[in-house]
Amino acid sequence: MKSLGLDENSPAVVELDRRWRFRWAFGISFVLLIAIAAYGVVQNQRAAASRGLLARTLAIQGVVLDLAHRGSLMELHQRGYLLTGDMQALRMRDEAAVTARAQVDRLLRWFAGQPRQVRQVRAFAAAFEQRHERMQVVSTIAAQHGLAAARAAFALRGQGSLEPMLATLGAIRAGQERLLQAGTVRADAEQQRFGRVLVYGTAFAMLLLALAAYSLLAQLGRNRRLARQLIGANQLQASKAAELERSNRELEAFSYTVSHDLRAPLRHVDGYARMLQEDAADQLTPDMLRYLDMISRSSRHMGLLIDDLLAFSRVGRKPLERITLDMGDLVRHALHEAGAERAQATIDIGSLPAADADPVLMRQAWVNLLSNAIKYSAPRGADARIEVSGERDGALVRYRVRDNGVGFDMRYADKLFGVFHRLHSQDDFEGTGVGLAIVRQILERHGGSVSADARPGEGATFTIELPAQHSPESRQQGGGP
Amino acid sequence: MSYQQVEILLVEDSSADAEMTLRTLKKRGIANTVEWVRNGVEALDFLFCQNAYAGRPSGHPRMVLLDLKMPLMDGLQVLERMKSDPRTRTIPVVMMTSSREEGDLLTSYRLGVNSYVVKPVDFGDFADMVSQVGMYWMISNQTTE
Repeated sequence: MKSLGLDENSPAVVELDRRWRFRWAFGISFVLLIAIAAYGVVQNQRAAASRGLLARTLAIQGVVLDLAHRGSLMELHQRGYLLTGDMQALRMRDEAAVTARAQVDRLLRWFAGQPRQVRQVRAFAAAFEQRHERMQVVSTIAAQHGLAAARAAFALRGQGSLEPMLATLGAIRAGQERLLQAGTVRADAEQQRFGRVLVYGTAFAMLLLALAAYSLLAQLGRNRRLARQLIGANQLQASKAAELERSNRELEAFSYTVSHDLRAPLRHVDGYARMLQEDAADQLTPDMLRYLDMISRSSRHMGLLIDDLLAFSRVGRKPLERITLDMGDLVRHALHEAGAERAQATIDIGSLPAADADPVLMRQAWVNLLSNAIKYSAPRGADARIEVSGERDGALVRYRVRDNGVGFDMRYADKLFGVFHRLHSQDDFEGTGVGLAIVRQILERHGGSVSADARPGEGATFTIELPAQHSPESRQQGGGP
Repeated sequence: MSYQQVEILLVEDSSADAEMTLRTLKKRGIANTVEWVRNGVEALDFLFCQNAYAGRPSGHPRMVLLDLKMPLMDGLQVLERMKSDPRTRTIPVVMMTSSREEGDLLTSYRLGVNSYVVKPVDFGDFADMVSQVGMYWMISNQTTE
């Protein structure tokens, strides 16, 4: 049955595509946010390193300034001594030197691995030691030759040697400042880059999330529409089912009427012909008696037509009840019903595979097929032969009824399964022409088929096929006539 | 006594069917007195001695042959009235119908019909059927009376 009301232009591919678009949007924004967070962590570590660099640079600058200060203090105390001869000044001068050496050691430790800076510090240390050595020489002169001699020596040899020392310190400081500046610039650039990534990345991720949310909402809307359509389709189907139900009821009422109202006059026609025959047999000529007999026979035949037509209509209306059928058993019962005991034919039943089918209807189909075989092979008398065979073919079961009777011309095979269609005259073979139409309807209702193969004078083979197992798809085949 | 006890009540709207039935019953010697009424209303009038049958001598038929499809009141309604009334409940009722449809059969048995037969088209079969039913209910079957 065709599905009703569903949009046939929405293949599953588009649906899949939509679902994947939605998943991708969510996935990418998720990954992006994780990446931004990771970048933030890295950036934070870099900023910490940058702050560490700044602190170290500041410390170095402090030490460098302190060294300049110690150098100045040495000069100050040296000159103080030369002016006053106070030994305390000499001691303070040497203390400053000791402190300065400790500071130089700190710098060398900090600059480990930086050859240029180490060289600069060593140059300063050499200049400083040289200066201190000279001061000691001057103070030794003062102790031996008096302050005046020392002053003269200091004036003569001490001037101008403080400058290179301070210049070296200045170079170290300038280097540090350049380093600091470069570090700051780099840190600023990184900070800015991080800021851009944070703003644009987050914005992009939010955009993707918005798209995903939009697509999700759109999908929800589509689902709701689809649900409404389905409900509508169901209602339509329900109304169609009700219509079908009504037409079925009408059909039932019709066949009820047919069975009542057509049969009664036929009974009367036959009845009165027979009563006349009984009451006036001695007054009637043989021809008159034959006429009466024809009246009776015709009415009986029409009674059979009506009965078969009703049977045909019942086959279409009866609900299918499928059970697994032992076909061999069913065929033996059907043979009895078809009057096999009265027939002269030799009947051979092969092994028949089981099938899921309606027992009442399948028995009817077998009775019709077998009584046909018996009827049309009867002219052969004791030579008549009927074979019933069966086989399983994948999901199908196939059964054959073969007889060696009068057969028929295959040119008319298409008329074989129509209602009231016959290939033989009523005088040769009695019948109404409904039997095979019933067989076809029964097989079609089971999702199967019936076909025939025959040659005039050589017999006929009828083949029926039906699904071995009942599957829901094979339901709803056939229906009312 | 001028009145003979009615043996069979035949309820049949078709005069042809009635004639065929009466002829068979008489010819085969199953019943001599058969009362024929044409619809369900007359059937109930006869059974309960009312209206046109108010003055008839009392007494019930030994069986009722009831057609199913009739004007005014059909066989199922007559059956229902008969089987729900203690005066007529024990009278055997044989439903005779042209219908082979299952619905009527089930309804009839639910209403307590004693027999349900389909009238054959063939007169020979019809006559056999009528006489078999008559023989069984009039002669073989043991009643409460």
